[in-house]
Amino acid sequence: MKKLLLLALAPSLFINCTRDYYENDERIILEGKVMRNNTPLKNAEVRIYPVYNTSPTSGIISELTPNSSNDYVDDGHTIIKTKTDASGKIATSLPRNINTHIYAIKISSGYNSKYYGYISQYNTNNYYVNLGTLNY
Amino acid sequence: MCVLLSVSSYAQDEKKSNINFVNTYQFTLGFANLAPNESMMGDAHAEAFPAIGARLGIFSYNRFTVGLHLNLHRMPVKNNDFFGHFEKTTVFTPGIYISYYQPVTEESLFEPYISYDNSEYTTKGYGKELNAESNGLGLGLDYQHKVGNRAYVTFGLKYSINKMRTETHPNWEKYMNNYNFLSAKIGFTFSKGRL
Repeated sequence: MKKLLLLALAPSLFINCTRDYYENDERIILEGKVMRNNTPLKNAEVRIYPVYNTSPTSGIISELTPNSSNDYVDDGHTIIKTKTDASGKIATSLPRNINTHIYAIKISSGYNSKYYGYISQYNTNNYYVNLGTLNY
Repeated sequence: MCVLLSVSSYAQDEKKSNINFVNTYQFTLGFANLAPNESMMGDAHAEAFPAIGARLGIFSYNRFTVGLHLNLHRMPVKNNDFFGHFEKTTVFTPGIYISYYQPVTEESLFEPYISYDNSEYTTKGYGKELNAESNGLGLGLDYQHKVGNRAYVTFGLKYSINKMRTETHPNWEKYMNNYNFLSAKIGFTFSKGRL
């Protein structure tokens, strides 16, 4: 019985020990703006997190719908946690994740959250990504 | 003949007193990341305490000393906005230094020095780890007051000018890579034959 219990718990131990690894040898600059009803969305929480199991085919950053088969939303290990300023602007930077170059964005205002994606090699130019205007 | 032997012996004694190997040690505690410049690392981190330092003089000639130093400090992440969502950064800095001491009284001296600092940063928190490196130049000044035969209580300040090894967009390169800060320390230096 004890062996069975240990076997059952072993995978959860490994899951709890997983860690996202980043290197600071590269930093990608991200800038953009969040609008709601043509008005800047200020003081909204912005989280950016790595995505490991998707392969975007273009550099377009748009709202992700969790039901879409290709849009995997992972709210796990947030690498960036910041807020929009009074003009709704976002400015931050991403260190290099050693396992993925793909990231998604979660924007929360009040009790609502929306997801946008993806930051990838398709929209990164000279360590810079222009997120454009994200309509919330 | 006696005069020649005497001169020769004097010259050898002088030589022995001028050149020394491994005769200076220093152990200190203090603060680091004080008054950082406007930079990603400086804006993201709070002051570090304790900052632990050790120095070993390998070779001394007259009042000059060349040696090795090790420093370790940990600083909390106070601002996640640009740096990332982490809790604390540990900085390990080995390097070399060259110093020159100047007695100011019979019991005290100043010891300015410059150092090369090779820093390794490990940032952890919330299930993540971030590793970074920098090259640095340190400009420091120690005040040492003799409290024993070879012991000196030591107060010191050091300004560190670091260049992070990060590739990024040219418009942000300065903010990302130029990281300077002040350190303050107190501790003991053990050295033979200074005062």
